[in-house]
Amino acid sequence: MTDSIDPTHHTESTPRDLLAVDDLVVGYGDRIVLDGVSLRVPAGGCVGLVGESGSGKSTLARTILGLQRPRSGSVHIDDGGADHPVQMVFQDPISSLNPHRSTIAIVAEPLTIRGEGTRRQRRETARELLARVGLDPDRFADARPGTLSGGQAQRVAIARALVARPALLLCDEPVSSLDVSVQARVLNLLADLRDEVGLSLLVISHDLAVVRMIADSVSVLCDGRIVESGDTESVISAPQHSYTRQLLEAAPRIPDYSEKRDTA
Amino acid sequence: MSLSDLASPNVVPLPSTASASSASRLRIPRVGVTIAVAWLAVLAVGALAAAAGLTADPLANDYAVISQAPSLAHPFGTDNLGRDVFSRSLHGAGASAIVALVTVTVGGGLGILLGVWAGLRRGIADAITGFVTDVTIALPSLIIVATIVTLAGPSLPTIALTIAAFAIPVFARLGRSATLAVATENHVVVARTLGASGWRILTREVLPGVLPALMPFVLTTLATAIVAEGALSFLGFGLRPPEPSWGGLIAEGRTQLALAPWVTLMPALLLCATILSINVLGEHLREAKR
Repeated sequence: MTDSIDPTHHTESTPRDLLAVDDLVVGYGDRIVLDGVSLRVPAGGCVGLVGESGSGKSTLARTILGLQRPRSGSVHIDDGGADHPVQMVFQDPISSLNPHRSTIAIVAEPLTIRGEGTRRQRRETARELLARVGLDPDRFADARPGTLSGGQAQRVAIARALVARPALLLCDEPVSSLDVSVQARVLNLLADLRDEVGLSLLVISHDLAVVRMIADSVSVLCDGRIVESGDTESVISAPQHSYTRQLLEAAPRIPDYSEKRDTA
Repeated sequence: MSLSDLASPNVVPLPSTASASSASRLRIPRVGVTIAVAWLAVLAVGALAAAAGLTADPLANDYAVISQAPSLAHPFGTDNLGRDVFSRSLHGAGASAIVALVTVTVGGGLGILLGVWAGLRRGIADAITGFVTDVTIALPSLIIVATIVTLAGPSLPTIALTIAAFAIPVFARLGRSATLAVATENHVVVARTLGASGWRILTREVLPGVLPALMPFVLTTLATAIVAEGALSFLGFGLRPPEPSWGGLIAEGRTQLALAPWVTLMPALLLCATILSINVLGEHLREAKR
């Protein structure tokens, strides 16, 4: 369905599939982790992927990133020739930042690797993006990751991902290691960026509240298979599969972050 | 201690090995660290002064002062040829320092690079490197070093480089295991997804995390290299007399022990104090990491 559409031209009426995962099978040794997973992320869309730990969520992320080779099936990214089609935001933000480099060098790294612009231009871009994710560049440019809080570190990681200008931002439990009060703000940032930059998001989480706040549609992963997928609100309000109902019951509460979005 | 200690590191200076029981161990007191640093500084100044010719000629015989006890004119006494033991000991320190530094920079540098490379590449490169290091570590290093030095001629560069060569596999093994710990961190994964070159990942993402973990072992290796050179010289495979080195001086003094014990005792004390100081600093670094 994407063939007829110019990849550089996005229109709302005919959303092409930016990420198409088809019938993916991934295993380690004789253990099958993903068993025929198919998933679509439309351009500019945000898809949530929920499942308990061990359901294969992170393996799917690694496979999409190209770090894990599938046994069969395919991952197709319609990136329009981007240098870095997929960037990832990790659960543990501190570990995703090189502890021996300054924040500004970390954020500018994608440009440095591409050899884009002068050092000064790269730093200027990095400062702009630090400001964009809500970190004062004057205060944080020279900070080392060890001095940042979890939320600040996650913002730095998001800024670096944006500098790479990816078509798809893959968020693996992007807020589950953060304080509850910080979670909503980081999710708001991701939602805003999606609107402004036209970024497509795949948000992997065990927490339905996170997915509810940010995702248009959701897929439920159970033991390496997608057991249910559909519009986020309908999946949460009328779950069809017993596993989804279990996930909903297991969640202590589903706070509706979406009300806070306007005030944050 | 002997050269074979190079091949059997009793310290694996990785953060993960810091056990709970180590917390109860006696810590190095601050004054001990200060004394160790001061001693190494004094020794370095002394060795440099000796190398610059500020002390008595270490090779000059003076038959008027044969086998004299320590005095103001000869602080460490004289040997059976009337040579100044103080000057000879300081000159010997220079030889030991060169062997130690070459071992750490050449042996440690190549070994760590090899280990980090193997740890990042994994697969067949890792398997081959692991096999070769295991075999090399199992070899009787002292005998082989003695043979090589005998065949190539006992010059200081030969001795230093041969000892350094035997440090490579040990550093490679430690560098590899430290790399495995760092390589799983997400910032290394990010660098890969950004298409960073292998060299950039190695130097920017991995080495800065690996080197601090290996620093205590680097210090330990300084000490073992000095002892290895001493053992070689003591056994007669080191620098040829009359060229002074600590092991050689200690060996020379053996025949004069009854008459002039200071000929052996003084360089032996310098050697002990130096090894102790280096090990104190190494232990201090290890403690600081916990």
